[in-house]
Amino acid sequence: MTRYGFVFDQNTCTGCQACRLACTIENDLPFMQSWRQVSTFNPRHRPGLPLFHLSLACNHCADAACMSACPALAYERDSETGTVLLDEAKCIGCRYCAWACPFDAPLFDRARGIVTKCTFCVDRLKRGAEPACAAYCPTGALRVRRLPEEEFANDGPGFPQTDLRPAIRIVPLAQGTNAPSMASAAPVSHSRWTERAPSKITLRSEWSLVAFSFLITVLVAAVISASAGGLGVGVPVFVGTAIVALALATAHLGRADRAWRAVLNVKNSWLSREVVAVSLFVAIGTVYLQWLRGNAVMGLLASLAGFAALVSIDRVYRYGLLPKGGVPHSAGATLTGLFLAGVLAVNPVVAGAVGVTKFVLYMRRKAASAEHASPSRVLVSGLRLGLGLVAPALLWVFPSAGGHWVVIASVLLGELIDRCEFYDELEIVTPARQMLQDLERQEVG
Amino acid sequence: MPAYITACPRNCYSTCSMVVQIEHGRIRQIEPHPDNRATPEGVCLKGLSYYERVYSRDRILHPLKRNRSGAFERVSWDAALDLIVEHLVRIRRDFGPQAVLYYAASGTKGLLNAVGLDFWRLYGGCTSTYGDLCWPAGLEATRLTLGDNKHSAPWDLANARLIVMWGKNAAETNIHQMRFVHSAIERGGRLVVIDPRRTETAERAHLLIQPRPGTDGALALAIAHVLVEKDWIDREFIERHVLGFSEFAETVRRWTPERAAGVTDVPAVAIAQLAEWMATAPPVTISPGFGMQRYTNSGQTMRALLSLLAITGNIGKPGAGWVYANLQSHIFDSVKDPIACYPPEHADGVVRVSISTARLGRDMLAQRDPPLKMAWVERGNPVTQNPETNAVLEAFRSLEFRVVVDQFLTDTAREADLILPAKTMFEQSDVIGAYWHPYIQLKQKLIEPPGEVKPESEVYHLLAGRLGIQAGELQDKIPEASDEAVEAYLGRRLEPFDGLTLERLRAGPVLAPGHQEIAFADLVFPTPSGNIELLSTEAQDRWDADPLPVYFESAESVVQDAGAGKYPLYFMTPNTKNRIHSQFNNLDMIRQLGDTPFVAIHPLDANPRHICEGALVEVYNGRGHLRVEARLDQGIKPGCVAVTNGWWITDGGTVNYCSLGRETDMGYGAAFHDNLVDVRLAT
Repeated sequence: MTRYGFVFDQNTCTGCQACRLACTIENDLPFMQSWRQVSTFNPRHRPGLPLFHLSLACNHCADAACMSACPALAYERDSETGTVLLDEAKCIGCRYCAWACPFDAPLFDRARGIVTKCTFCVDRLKRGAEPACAAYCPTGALRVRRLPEEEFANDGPGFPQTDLRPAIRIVPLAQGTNAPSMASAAPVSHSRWTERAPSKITLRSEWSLVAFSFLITVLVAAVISASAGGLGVGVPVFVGTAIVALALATAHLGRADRAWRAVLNVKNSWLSREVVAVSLFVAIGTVYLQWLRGNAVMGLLASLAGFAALVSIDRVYRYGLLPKGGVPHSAGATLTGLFLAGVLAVNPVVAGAVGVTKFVLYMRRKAASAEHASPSRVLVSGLRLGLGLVAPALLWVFPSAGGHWVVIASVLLGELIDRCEFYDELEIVTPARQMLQDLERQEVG
Repeated sequence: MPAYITACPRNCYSTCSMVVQIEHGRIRQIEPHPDNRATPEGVCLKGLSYYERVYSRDRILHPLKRNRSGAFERVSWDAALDLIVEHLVRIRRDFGPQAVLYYAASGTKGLLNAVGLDFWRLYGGCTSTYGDLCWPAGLEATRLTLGDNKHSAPWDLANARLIVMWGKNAAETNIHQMRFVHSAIERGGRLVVIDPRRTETAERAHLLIQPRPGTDGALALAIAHVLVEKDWIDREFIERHVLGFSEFAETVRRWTPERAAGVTDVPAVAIAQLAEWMATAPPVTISPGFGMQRYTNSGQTMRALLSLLAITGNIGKPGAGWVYANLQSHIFDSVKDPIACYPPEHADGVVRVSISTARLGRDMLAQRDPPLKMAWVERGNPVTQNPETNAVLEAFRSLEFRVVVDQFLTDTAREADLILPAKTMFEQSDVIGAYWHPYIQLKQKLIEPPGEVKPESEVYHLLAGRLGIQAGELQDKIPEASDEAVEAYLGRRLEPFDGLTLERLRAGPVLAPGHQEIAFADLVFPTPSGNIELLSTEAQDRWDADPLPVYFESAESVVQDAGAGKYPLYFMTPNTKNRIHSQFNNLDMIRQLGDTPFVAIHPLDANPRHICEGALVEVYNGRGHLRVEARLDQGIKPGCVAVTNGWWITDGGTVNYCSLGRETDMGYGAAFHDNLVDVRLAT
């Protein structure tokens, strides 16, 4: 059983980037775009370590993560060539495939509001020609071949390791010519600058998702609290907030007009499941609050739907990388939902237990990154802990008039800060990031 | 899709053969031509980017005239030609034709380039330049030593057991050579790179030697010392084919590795190691770059390097030799480089060859009887690419009228009074040679020039008519505009060569007639003595140089008093894969690669200057400065900093703000790599 795949020789690639331009031309992409990217290991020439390149586009994985992650069923596989193709007419522009892919292959086209990606030049492949990137490689470092599965070996540094079965074979550097021995090399300098890989998820770009997930968490907490006899929420506020949250989530899509497609992949995609669970929760919650507020079964049902929504929100982020000590995260939607429910229902046991858990998780994470902490970060942490945990605890112990509302407001602010930190910390595996990580590891080793 | 062959005429080693697919009259895809054994795999990224370049929104498509407010406005060809003729007639009447400078550089290769000077002769004359920015010191050193500038076919490099890439970063400037380097390594050969930078080429090398810039000659003489001391030389070859060995052996006696280590900053063990590899692992090929021979001592440097091959008998054999410049395809030149770029021994009174290309700005300002009043620039961008940008700018700004022919608004075009739109390689046929591989190729017209673009030959033809030059005088010299006339012109140039016809060239690249696959395999050396000359009386007579390859410090050196202390850093200005000098830089396809102007500086040099990664810094000396970002690089030799050549002033500044117009010791080359600077945080 053979299939098409790339064969990339690290010994002969000089990082010239002709492959990248060949892709731009062949696929009629805008001149500033390419589906292929070349990343470089050790670009600043740390002595004793090799410098080499990795030219990557889509690896047309046998178990493609993009395909199972896509909520809109926009991906399909060409049976003849094994190519993973994205049907641009079906893409809703949610960018979830770009989170799922560790090779940074799906790229968001802002102008068109959809993701685009390497097609393996499938038409060329079908007529017996190599894809353009390989056909026009000046040194012959990049090829496309039909190979048996066991020959797709790619466990070199810089290449993200997965169980997706990517169709690429990386020929590693030969011994003896992997890094030049340098006559008259200067002493290794210990002054370091931190090279950084660009971040794929930033607070700035994902603020609407922060708002969406936080609002839904608050609503779930309110419904749970109401069903437990605690402080609830009025229907107008509930429905209004839900509409705002869903609108924000929809606005995040590149193609909001195709938003309905987001529920098509409940079978495989946590994003589809999230959309379905949140919608069910909003529907059941509305019925419960409006008509059946006294009905315990309905309350339980609404709470369970809410809980499912929170679990699926958390599961959506399974592809994300979090800093050391960040898993599980103190700002997880499920955890926060339970905490807020405990606070709203004035249940010291639940609020206290979850609150302490959150505190421990938060401190564990911060302790792990203490050496990189900047003054502004310390301030943020102080606010988060002070508003979200310490102040409410104090107010609880020393109650005052109207204190409950102050507690709620303070907790919400604290939790919102943590949720923002979660997005700020969240990263996605990319070849560029993997290269830096492996470089640091090799240098230490 | 119909596909046609053509070839890339840039000033580049590779000179790729191409197959171009045309779709609806537009270029759709540019593929390699498998029949060119030197470039069969793929053209480089610049070659691919013609796809954008030809149709770029920034391309100049009409004559542009500077208006009173200083902006460029579109004018008709009639208006443009009338304006030029008005100035030409006035200047010729008032000052004589030699008040016009004709400056043409290396932007495009081709036989039709000769039309320019033929026009200016018909006009009555002009002033022109001698020397060259690129390679003459090395050409002259090779000519003096071996008698001719040729080397074995590129693919022969795969047969070498030891390749010394001496100051050449082929991975960026001659990527197709790397295929042969890699196959030599795969066959068990060794690669040694000599370069103060840890270049892309050095990554797969067995040894990287980082000498102090300008000291390569001392390094070579020390290697020769070891070879002679240990008797690792080919006595039989020397006896038969080498002139001056005993005198040479006498001079290298003093160049012990220990002494050379003090001069070159290369450990003596590395010198001994390279000597041992040269002796024990033949055949040896040395492939020197052009950058190393742009110092004031580099003619002698290159002769010293050549001596290593001569005394070990590594010439005229497969896998051995001196891969510098292969002029075997330059069959159309009656006089070849470097002689062709020397000023004539006897002035003809028509063309005044009085300006050194290396000193363009200063020499332009110094012209008398008549002083320069007008300049015509084509195929070049002297403002950023010639040494001493500020002097060049001053010289151009002192003129009354400037015409620049270009495809884009370069820094030189911005200085013009009148810009004429230039053709691209796809818009007029021409025949080109190369200087690395031995093929003659047709650069074929595949599309009509866009807008109002006219090839230079057509412009000259129209100007000649307006100047009243008779059609009879133009015959054979300046073809009419039609494709047939151009092809007839090229056909006449091909006529003397048996079997070399346009029809044959249309099918693909053709090996140059008389091509030697292994250069000097016949052991014929056309020097005065008929031998490889380590001792050259011509070097003494022509250049007032020591007849032996000797080492002396270059003019700007940190160990000499002059310049030391004040400007302590060697400023390296290498070429990058992303450009050919200043060409291609403006294209989005190149900009997508994210290259920006930066200075590479070692942390050991950055720390005491409080320069951190990404800081905006000023690279400066007494001649000028440029502002770029700092990039800390542990691969560059401490004491050296590097900014790639070819950035436009609009991108952040040309490296030639800091260089000096000064000639090499031989060949009238430009010694602009003799360039000490300092770096400080920009304020």
